[in-house]
Amino acid sequence: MPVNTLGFPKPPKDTRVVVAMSGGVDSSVVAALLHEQGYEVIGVTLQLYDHGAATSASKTCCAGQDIHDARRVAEARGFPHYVLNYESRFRESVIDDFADRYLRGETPIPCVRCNQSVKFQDLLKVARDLNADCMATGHYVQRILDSTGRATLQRAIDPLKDQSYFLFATTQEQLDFLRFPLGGWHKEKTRAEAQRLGLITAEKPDSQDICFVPNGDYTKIVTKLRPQAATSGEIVDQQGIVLGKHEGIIHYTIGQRKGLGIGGGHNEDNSPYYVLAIDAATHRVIVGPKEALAKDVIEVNECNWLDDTAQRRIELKFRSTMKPVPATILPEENGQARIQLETPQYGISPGQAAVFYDGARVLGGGWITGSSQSQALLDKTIETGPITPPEREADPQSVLMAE
Amino acid sequence: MKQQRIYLDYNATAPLRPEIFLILKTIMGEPLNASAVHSYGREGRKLIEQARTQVAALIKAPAAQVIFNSGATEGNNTVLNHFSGETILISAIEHDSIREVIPNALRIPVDTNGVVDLHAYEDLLKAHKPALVSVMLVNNETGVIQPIAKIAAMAHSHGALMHCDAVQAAGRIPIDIVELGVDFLTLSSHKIGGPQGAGALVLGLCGITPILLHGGGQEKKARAGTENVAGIVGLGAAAELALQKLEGEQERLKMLQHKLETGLQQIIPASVIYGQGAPRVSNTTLIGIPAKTSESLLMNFDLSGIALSNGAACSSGSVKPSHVLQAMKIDTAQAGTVRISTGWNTHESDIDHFLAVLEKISR
Repeated sequence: MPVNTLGFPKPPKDTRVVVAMSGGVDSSVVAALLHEQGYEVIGVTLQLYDHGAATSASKTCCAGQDIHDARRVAEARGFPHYVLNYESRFRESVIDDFADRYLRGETPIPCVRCNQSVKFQDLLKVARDLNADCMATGHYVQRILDSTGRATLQRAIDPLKDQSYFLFATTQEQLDFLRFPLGGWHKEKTRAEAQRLGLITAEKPDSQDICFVPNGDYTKIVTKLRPQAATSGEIVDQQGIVLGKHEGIIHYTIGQRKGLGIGGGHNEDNSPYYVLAIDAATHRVIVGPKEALAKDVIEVNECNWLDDTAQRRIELKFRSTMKPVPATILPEENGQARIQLETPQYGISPGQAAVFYDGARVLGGGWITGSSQSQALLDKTIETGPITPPEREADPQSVLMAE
Repeated sequence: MKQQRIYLDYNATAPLRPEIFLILKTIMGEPLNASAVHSYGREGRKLIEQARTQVAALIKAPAAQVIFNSGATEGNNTVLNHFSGETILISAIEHDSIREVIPNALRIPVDTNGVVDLHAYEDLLKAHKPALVSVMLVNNETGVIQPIAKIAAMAHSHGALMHCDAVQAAGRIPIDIVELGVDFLTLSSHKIGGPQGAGALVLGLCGITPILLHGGGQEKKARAGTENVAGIVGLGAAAELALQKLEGEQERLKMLQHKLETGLQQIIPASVIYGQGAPRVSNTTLIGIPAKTSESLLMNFDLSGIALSNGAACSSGSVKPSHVLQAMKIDTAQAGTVRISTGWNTHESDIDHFLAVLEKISR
């Protein structure tokens, strides 16, 4: 018997697949399409937060529009659909972590934490409890079997939609059980399929924000959860000279140039200041010239590896939207590692992910705990000033996952 | 192939009794506005008053004390709202239609069997001098029966009035509003085999009529809005049938419960039945199954054609942690919870089927 499209040597009707449905167009298409192909589809949507409770006094129904849409898709196509309440779990492992990291001067990526804890751990367990053969999601990422039959994680065909960066923490065991039917598609094809299937989510815009942060205003939600994030403090230069005041470290990200509110520059050319570091303990924002932002060593922890070949020459992304840069990994104890970049980079912020690639393949990744300048870099004269930092380096939340 | 479906979620809503369905079909075909002076109006009026007598009989109250409304959520809101601004004591295991009306109402704790802690209650009465006490007669999740007569007497001796949500008790145990000593009692039609969207607030003898909806003279101005004649007639018929069949059904469902609970303990010896140490109604069994989650259990049962729930469901249909089990100090992380609730159309074969699926799922 040949294997079916999900890789099982049995007919689709005997293959039970749980589809994680967000209520967006992508996962709607995955569910509807697999159902159309004859699979036994079970749609599951997670209720993760309550906008009303999290952000303002307004009383909203606990069922958000996305949950409603996912359910309508399932009803229309005729497969069972369930809503699971993971509010408290999500609050603990994603929202609290998000707020705490800002408090520590980091720039967190909640979507990775959510995949890591809620979706690929808890939800996956539910899928296994339901005796599902696999779980499918609407992520744009490819799962490709290598010559030994091992599942590998690879970038999506559509470079604009690729979500591999956000999935670096997927373990091999999770990957074995997961399916990403959209990884080989461009978004236009997904939309076209949604139209063909007549899904009510066909025209739904892609989500851009972090799901639990309405209108992208994360400072509001963080200050609500952790009022001390709005503690004012000093903006100082590298020598500790006070240049101005700020209304909370929450408003700053490493590499940030605009909106520092200290005017002027640091030399006669009036070159602008950049945020170099955030000292959460003293509420200080340390600024300096762009050269001081250039780092060629990154420290990471909580490393996840999807590759046993111990490949050490890799390509690295420390932001989802950047082009990968060459680097060498020096693994250390307890899941920590040191990454030596070939060329210094700007705006490397703790809390972001460092993801290791070999071409299209994700080898693994870790969480950035710090960055520094190697002795070799320090020895170089600063005038040779390598690369001009982009205008606004650090806007890590600008492109996030739709799913 | 269409799977056989089995309904074991009567505490959420019971299927409409077929004899009531027939009555409703006739009534809904006529424009019976009970407040009108014409013959249709008189007909509607007659039907409503007949239903009032039927409902009153179920709880042994004078018919004049029965006010029809849209259901227990409205009834509970009506009573609780009347006392907003005053001190209110509610049990920790009340339904959301009590708990969320007055969020800062003081909570009476329950013991690990889910029975109101009378010592703690007495202390609260003394310390806070409440205007109203609200405790349900039968808990919707565990089926545990509360000592309402005692609770009401204690409330009265401390100058408080007594409200009782009797929704889950109707048709399952005898109810006598005078013996219970309750000042306000709420009932719902669809929990006893009547149609959804009808209910009643029954007044005791305190002389207070709480009013929520204004804007019409219906129900002696106690509840404005054109009467839901079909709903009220359905409620009346359901109340009459519930009373008629009470004794026989209690016995029959008790046997099913026994079969269910012994079967459960055989299949999963480590399972628990919550509230087992307290008096319970014979149609409700709340079970905890170790090393499972409520979500997975519910989904697995549903995928096998068995409809049950784990207690209070959110409007999005998602499973949320039970405040009842929390109040009973039960660690819900240790076991998955499902509630089996039976009723007029539950047969022994349904229990057999449930146990067979349980065996399959627990493997």
